[in-house]
Amino acid sequence: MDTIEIKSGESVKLNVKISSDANAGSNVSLNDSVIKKSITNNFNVELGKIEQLDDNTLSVVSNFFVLGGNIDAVIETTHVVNTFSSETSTIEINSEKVKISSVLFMAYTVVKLKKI
Amino acid sequence: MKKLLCLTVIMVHSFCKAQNVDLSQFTLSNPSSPAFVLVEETPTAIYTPDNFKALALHALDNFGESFSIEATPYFLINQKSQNRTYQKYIGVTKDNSGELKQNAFSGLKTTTISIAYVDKEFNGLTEDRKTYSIGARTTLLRFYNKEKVHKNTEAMATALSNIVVPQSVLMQGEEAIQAYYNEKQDEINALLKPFEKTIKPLFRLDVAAGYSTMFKENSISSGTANRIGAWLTSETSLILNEGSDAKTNNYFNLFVTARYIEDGFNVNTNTEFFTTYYRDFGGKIDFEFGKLTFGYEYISRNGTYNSERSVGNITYSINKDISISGGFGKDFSVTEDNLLTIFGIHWGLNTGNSKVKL
Repeated sequence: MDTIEIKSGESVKLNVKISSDANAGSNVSLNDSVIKKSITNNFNVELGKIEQLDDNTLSVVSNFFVLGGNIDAVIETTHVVNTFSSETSTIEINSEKVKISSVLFMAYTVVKLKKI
Repeated sequence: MKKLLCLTVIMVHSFCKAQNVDLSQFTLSNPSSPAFVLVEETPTAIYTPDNFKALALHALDNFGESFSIEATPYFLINQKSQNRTYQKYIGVTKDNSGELKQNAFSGLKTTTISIAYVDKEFNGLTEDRKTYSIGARTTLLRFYNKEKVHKNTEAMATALSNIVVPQSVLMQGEEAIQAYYNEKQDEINALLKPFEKTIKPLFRLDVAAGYSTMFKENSISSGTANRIGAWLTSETSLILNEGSDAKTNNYFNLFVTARYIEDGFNVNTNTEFFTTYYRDFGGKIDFEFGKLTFGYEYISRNGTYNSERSVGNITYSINKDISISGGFGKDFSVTEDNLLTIFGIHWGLNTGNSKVKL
């Protein structure tokens, strides 16, 4: 699990950009509580001040459904980039991909948010 | 060659065994390849594939002596692109004003190239000949019911966004995640069940071409005879059970095809090869009932000789990776020996394990 360090007093924003031939639906959770669901390939979440987020765990889960029976090639060409940004920093993390079945796969990332 | 084929079959079998029960019943409906069609080594001469593998293997009833491999380059090149979307892939997107628009050329992404090896007895030749073919096909035009596709896309994405995984599971990695989805399979199946139905284009136009060469005396020094062909196939599809709760959409499909072929696989009484020219025009009707498809095709051939092909065919998809097909009827021939009976099996190749029994 990566740790995202943000300077005290700054606001944190998350951008999730998905590139895939498969249809995708995503959810973002903070300490296992869903704070955003999305059906688009590019979305933002305003997470708030780092003081409120300090030591929280954030996860992004994207699920993909593959029509056409070509899941391995679709997984290979799928990229999910999570960009955490504040007033003074920007950090990009690529999601890990996991094949679930011959028509379903998911991509995920889990990070710890830390105030410095 | 047979050893190579056996090895391929073993690999395919291993891949198939690695796949567990599918979440849905999407089926492999790609019964042939242009490289096969050109040498008339196929249960159906008229087809428009719905689903594409990066790599597919077709083998027919003289198993070990005829097979074709078909690849879809779109899935194999430019894998680092960051601008792919499902909407672009299927060709139904929203413009800046929010209006739905359709890219009629989105089917070009499904372009396939194929190679085939066939060892069979051609009409007029006294013994089997080894033939090598290459082919290519693409969907030149396709038109969906865009409102229906868009509605289905959004509903499916919404269902996918509702699959939430606890962070404690995510932190444990791949195996724990697969175990979690396995544990929740009933809930996930219920979420995704409405999207098992395939939505076909209302109309599509495919174009294909192939080139085949045969060694005249089954030796490299004997010289070659060639066959070249190009064809257009249109398909119009109507749903037979619109609005029903059935697990699959049943379709009535109407195909119209036109082909041009230069055929050098002919021998006269002095065993000299010569070329004939044909223009084919015909059609096919078929009914798709879930995994089972049956149809009838008729093609009229005009040119050096006039002939016709009249074949009934049936395809059963065992699962999304394997289908079997058969054809029975009268093949193109000006002789009495024109009975066609053919049986085929078709694999789509997936790699990697699928450990979750969804």
